[in-house]
Amino acid sequence: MNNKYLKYILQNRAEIIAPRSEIDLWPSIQKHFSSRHPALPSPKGGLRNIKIKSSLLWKPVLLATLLIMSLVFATSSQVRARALELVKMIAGYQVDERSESPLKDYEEGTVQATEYTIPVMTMPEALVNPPFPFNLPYWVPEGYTLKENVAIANSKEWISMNWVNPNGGEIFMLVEKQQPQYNLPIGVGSSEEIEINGQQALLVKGGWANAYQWDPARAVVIYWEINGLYYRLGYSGNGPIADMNKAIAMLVQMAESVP
Amino acid sequence: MEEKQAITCLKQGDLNGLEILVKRYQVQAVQAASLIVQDRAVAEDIVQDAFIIAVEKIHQYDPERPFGPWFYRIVVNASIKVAEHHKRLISLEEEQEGVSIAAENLLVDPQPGPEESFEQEEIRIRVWRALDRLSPNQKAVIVMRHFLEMSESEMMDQLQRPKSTIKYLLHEARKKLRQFISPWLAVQNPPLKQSNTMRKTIRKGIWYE
Repeated sequence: MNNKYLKYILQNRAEIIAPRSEIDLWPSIQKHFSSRHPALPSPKGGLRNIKIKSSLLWKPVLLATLLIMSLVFATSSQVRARALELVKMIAGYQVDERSESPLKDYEEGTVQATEYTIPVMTMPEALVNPPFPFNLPYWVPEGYTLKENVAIANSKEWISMNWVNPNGGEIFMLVEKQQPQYNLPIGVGSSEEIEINGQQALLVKGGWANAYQWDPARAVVIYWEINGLYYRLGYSGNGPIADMNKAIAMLVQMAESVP
Repeated sequence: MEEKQAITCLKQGDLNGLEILVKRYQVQAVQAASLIVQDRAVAEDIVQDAFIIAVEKIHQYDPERPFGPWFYRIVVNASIKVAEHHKRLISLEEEQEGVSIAAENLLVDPQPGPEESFEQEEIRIRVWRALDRLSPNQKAVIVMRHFLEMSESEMMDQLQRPKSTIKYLLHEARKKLRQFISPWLAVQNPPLKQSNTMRKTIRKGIWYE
């Protein structure tokens, strides 16, 4: 086919579908950014505020946001329809393999989420008045110490705590009374089934990083159930995990030490 | 403000440069997306989102390369996703059986004279319909090459596929386009000595079928 004429036909067709004189996206784009940055156009700084510091991903408040967003995902028909195509069941957990972080949907306003502050208390306080009986692991990797503060959900449905080492390594454990009734938002191809003390468990390699993208070396998390409680144990370092197998072995050993 | 200056601003977190880029690329982008998704409102949504993505990922953009192809890749990829999602592809495999390829030389004149305008109008609409029947990926390569006028090298760069693959995709898309319109063009290409009256009758017969 004559290329010149094909181009002419395409231009003609495009002009009929979307006349150039009627195309003006700037007001809506301006509105989009103005809602986040009221001073648009503003000198510098705006975009940086959009990004989420990766170090925040382990903070309890943001964790709670993620959990709540996951719940909204499970109930929003519009989002569910899109997500269903990628939802898989692994070791009893529903995982939603996504190319972009749900935080992006939240930021863009396509997903509603409630953000709230979770009470933080010291471990001794938590052990005196635990939200529910749970066990700590007997074995913790050398050099790691339990951080003093723990977070307990207002609903008393879960508790989370962290161990840290001087090199910036951080291990996070969350214990829930009930199995998550929502889809876990994770990166594509990042999950697999493993065993913890002979029981099925979910292994997720990676974590959501800046720019809403999945970083396969960002973290590693294990999800498993024991004695009717649902545990998740995660590890992240200062930077990308250099030896993923070593990190997984460490978490498995720690998980298997939970009585 | 020049385009390069606008991009530099964006890379520094300053949104002042965005308007320049929107005004410069929105028309081509919306029209390209429209050709793939066949819906102006959807196309506008895609392009609006593409600008937002471009802002968020501007750190990934190499300022030594032209902005247009980089941005159009975001638009085209999103358009393909939407088009595939909506399953607007119409399978007409049966109609392709037994076609004769006689179309090449008919589609030659972008500015027909009055006597030929009827014929050209028919051809144009037939080609539109044929375009609608291409798969989203096939539409995308046709749009990138012939509407956005990206070179094969630029397509190779943006689609991150080897040149041979780009050539193949284009070849397949053009071939399918020819196949879709050939049955009609074969009828439209009458014997040399056929009278004009007869030709118009045939065309009208098909046009109103």
